[in-house]
Amino acid sequence: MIDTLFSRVGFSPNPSQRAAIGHLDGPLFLVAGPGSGKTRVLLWRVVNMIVFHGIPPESIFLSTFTEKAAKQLQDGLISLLGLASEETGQPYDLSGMYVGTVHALCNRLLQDRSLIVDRERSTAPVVLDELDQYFTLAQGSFWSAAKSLNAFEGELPSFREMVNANFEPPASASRHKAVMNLQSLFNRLSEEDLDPKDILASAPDESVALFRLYELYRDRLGKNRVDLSLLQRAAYRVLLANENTMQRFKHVIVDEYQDTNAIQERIFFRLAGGSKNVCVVGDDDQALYRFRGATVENFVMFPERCAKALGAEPTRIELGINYRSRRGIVKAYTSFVGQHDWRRPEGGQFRLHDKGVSAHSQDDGVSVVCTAPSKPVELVEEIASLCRRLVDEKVVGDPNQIAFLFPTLKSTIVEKFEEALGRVGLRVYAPRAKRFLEADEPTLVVGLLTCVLGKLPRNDAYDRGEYSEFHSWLDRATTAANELIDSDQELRAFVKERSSELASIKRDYSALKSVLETCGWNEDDFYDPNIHKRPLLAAAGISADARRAIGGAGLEKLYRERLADESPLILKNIINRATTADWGLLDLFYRFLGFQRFREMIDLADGGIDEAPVCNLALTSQLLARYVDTFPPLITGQGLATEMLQRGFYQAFLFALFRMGEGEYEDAEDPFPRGRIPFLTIHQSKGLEFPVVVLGSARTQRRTRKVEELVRPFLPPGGEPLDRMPGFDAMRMFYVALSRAQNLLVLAHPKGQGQKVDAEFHELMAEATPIAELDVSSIPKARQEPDAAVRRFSYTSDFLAYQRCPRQYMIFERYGFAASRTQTMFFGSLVHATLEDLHHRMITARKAKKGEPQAGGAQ
Amino acid sequence: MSWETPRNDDERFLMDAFEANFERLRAETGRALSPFVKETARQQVLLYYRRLFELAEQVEETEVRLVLPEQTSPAGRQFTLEGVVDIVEDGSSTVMYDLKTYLDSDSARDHVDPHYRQLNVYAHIWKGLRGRQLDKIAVIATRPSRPLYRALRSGDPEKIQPAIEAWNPVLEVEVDGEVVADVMESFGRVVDLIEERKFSPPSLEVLKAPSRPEGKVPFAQDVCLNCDGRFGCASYRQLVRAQSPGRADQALREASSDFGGDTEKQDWRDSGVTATARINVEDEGTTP
Repeated sequence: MIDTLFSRVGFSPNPSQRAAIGHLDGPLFLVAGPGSGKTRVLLWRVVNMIVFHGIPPESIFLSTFTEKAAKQLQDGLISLLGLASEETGQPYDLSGMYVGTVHALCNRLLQDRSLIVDRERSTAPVVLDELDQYFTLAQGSFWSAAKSLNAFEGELPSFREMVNANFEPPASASRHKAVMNLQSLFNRLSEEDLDPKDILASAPDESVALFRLYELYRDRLGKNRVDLSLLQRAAYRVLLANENTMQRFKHVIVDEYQDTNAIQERIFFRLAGGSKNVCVVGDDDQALYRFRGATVENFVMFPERCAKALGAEPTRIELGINYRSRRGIVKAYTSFVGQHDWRRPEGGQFRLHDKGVSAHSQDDGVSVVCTAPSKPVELVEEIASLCRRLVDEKVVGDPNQIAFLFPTLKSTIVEKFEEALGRVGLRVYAPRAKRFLEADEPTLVVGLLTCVLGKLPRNDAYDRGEYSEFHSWLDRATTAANELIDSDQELRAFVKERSSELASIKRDYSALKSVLETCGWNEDDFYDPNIHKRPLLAAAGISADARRAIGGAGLEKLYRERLADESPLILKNIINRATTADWGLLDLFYRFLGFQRFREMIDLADGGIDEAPVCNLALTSQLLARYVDTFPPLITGQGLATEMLQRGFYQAFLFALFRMGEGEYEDAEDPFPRGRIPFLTIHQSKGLEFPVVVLGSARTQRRTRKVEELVRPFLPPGGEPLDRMPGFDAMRMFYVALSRAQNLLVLAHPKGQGQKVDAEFHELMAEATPIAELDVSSIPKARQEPDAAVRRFSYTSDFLAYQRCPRQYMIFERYGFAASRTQTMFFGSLVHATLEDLHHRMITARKAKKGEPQAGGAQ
Repeated sequence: MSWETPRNDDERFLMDAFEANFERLRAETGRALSPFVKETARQQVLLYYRRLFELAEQVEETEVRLVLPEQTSPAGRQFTLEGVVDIVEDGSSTVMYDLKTYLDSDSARDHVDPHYRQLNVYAHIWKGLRGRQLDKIAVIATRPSRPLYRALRSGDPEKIQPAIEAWNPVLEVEVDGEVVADVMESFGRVVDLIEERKFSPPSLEVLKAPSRPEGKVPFAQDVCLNCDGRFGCASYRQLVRAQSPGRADQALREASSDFGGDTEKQDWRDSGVTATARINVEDEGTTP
């Protein structure tokens, strides 16, 4: 039966794929090498469950590493189940199925009423993401509490210096560094499910002061707020609350298992406690996220750990055949990983070997090439001209099919490559090579905002290091904006008009404040129109806008509403409301897009000529939306007069983003714009494939992370030795890089003073074909549109939206600009999801009334 | 009491669910809504409950995903079509409802053709899946229509209650299988255009013309005025210029300094009074 479906989509699984799809009973250990069709196997395995074994979708739990992977799986499932419906005449509704990242699924578990019988939904905690967590830890009140908790005598900076001394050198007094350090330590502790009290009881003396801060942090979060690590812990606690939770799911499937952490492992084993049906998929050679608390041993030792937790030995199936890469590439990365010493002192290895990785391709043509050993300036030229030929001779359909991968983008070689490519007319897309904020588009937008809002003066006392860099960037932004303003008189008029509005708001604010002073009223006094209205209206010199806001029917109405709701207005509300700008930062952003320079950027994306500027603008709009969501959203006289607005926007928000720099704020889910060569960190390339991959640097700094040393005393024995972790991690990272390539892998071999590559690369580079000897025409041509995964189009949010206005569709749906006032998909999703909850509630109530058994769905 | 104060357990549930969904979507998408837009969404949810309580009680299946897989566009791209509906069984008949949050029923009523086409495709998929014909198909347009919007603006419960009662957000269309092939073909064409990144705005003529045949409201007012993207849009700018011969530049300047009508400005200000920030700036300090 399932074969009918296989043939409808032209899939002929190999024997191990078939075995994995068919194995539904008991634990399954799927060791999946690069390009081995793992996603497809997962999809079909779920189809097999639902269609051929009658397993209800709502009893399946499928955890992915990214939102993007979750979406891909959902798209695939919807499509395959749709096909199956045509064959079987049965509908399959996936809405009850748990598919998503661990975080999303934990959030869902916390709201799952079938798990929490006697609790109201609203008790689910508020979740702080990385940025929220950062701001929470950056608060002045946290640091003063931390200092007094430790009875520290000195000033705050020296206290922070003491904290930072526990982490990577150089120790500094930087608050930012301290926050980042604590963030990674705290998350690690939370993910190991360690209790602050237990830690303190057994902590070595020299780090007690540090671990006290963890306790403080946890106390300050309280019961109702969790960060992303504690979210998992909270979900685990719900699962432990009663035995029934182990029966909630019939199947638990976890993708990218090599990158799971301790608390996640506990969650998965607990969920599978009843059925024993846990299927983990992964590849230890591709483990990348130790720095986020991942424990590769979860995967390597899965058979033993599973036997211990569930009392059942898993079946091991290897998906070794690589369908992605040409033969030479597969050979190259398999032999590369064997160059490192993986032996355990007690025998055996720290990695799974004998995984049967082999190429499906029979193509023995040249697929791994290397530059001549040469100085960086020369080798970038050699690679750039190779790229030019690859584009000209149509080996790739678009420059975005060539990816440059680097261990880090903060390296001088990255810039050299960018310049060399520029000289042959190829542009790159490297949003993380610099800080994102330093890219042209966000710089210009922020610059224009400084022209309207004014900016915060530099404080000489701090003017060094990153603070100084940040202010220099702000200065550059203002300069760039002023140049643009000089060349565009419309823009000049617009900016002038907005800043004079703000000046008037500020004047109104101080006029109204002085009324309060003169009359001896307090800001927090309840507003009574009979007493307050007339004197406020008579404030000296206030603008017509402010008068309207105080004297108009709108306030009257709001006053009555609030009175009725028993939350009466206070005078502060009245003043703020009267001195609020009619626009917010996002409104300004969209007005800026109307001026020449920005219009050109947007038009470039129409037709797919160059999507990079528009992608950067979209990201900028999302950052502004994030600000509006986190900080006081409106521009008020009070915010301006007290400089709270400027401090919040520049000092707290932008400066934090600026310092987080690459990769901290976003997920690597942005598209690779057409017309540009993407520059990625190897971490960003996880799960992706490209026709051509250039490994731009084959060198790493191998250092043990301090957080690992700090946490080690509290962990069970048996982990990878601390001193060998850096070597293992480097090998795994390069393994990922090398295995991304489909048709051609290009290596850079630097030589000369201070130039080195990691030792494991020597053999690979010696055996690779020199670029000079490569016949470009021998490389298979890449498809025009890479990887034709079947896309899902919604009738309403794609088809109708496009038909209504292709440009609006482009901006908000295709590139994901954050709207200021346009209704977007978020709006629709929010209303739909809430009404869905209502319907479920009513369905359940009706069934209960009729005495029918309740559906075992999400409600 | 404000009309928005929850009146019973269902409504309290609804408000809690709204907040929880907001938090969840915010976490999942990394996006958010401005407080102003969020309030609009909250109102829609509450209005739906107050007006369509009886219908909601009869919902048999909610948020049913309808899927038409293995479709091929004219240029040969494979795609899946998807839609989401609610199904109501009232004993004798089965009705499919499509909830539209961007639509108000009064303006939709002038021009049902697009909905007729969409719902007939859905009905076709439904029939293929369940082997049953639907008895009725209808759109629920949850955006308040003009009179209701005006009543809400007044804030006066005496006006709001009758306006909710008079509001008819349900729009029924005829069941008729004829259009399906035709719709699917244009759907495929749109898929190709999207994948080829053809994103030019509609022409000036389209902007001037009514947004629906027989309609009174021009496209520019119906769509563009609600779109943040209009300032950078060549067609919209052309329109503004064309509407003010002799003072085109001035008109453009005014357009970009227009931040909505009085009511919108009021709502905007009011949203600031209720909004609370997640971060206390004062406590953020200013030291590096």
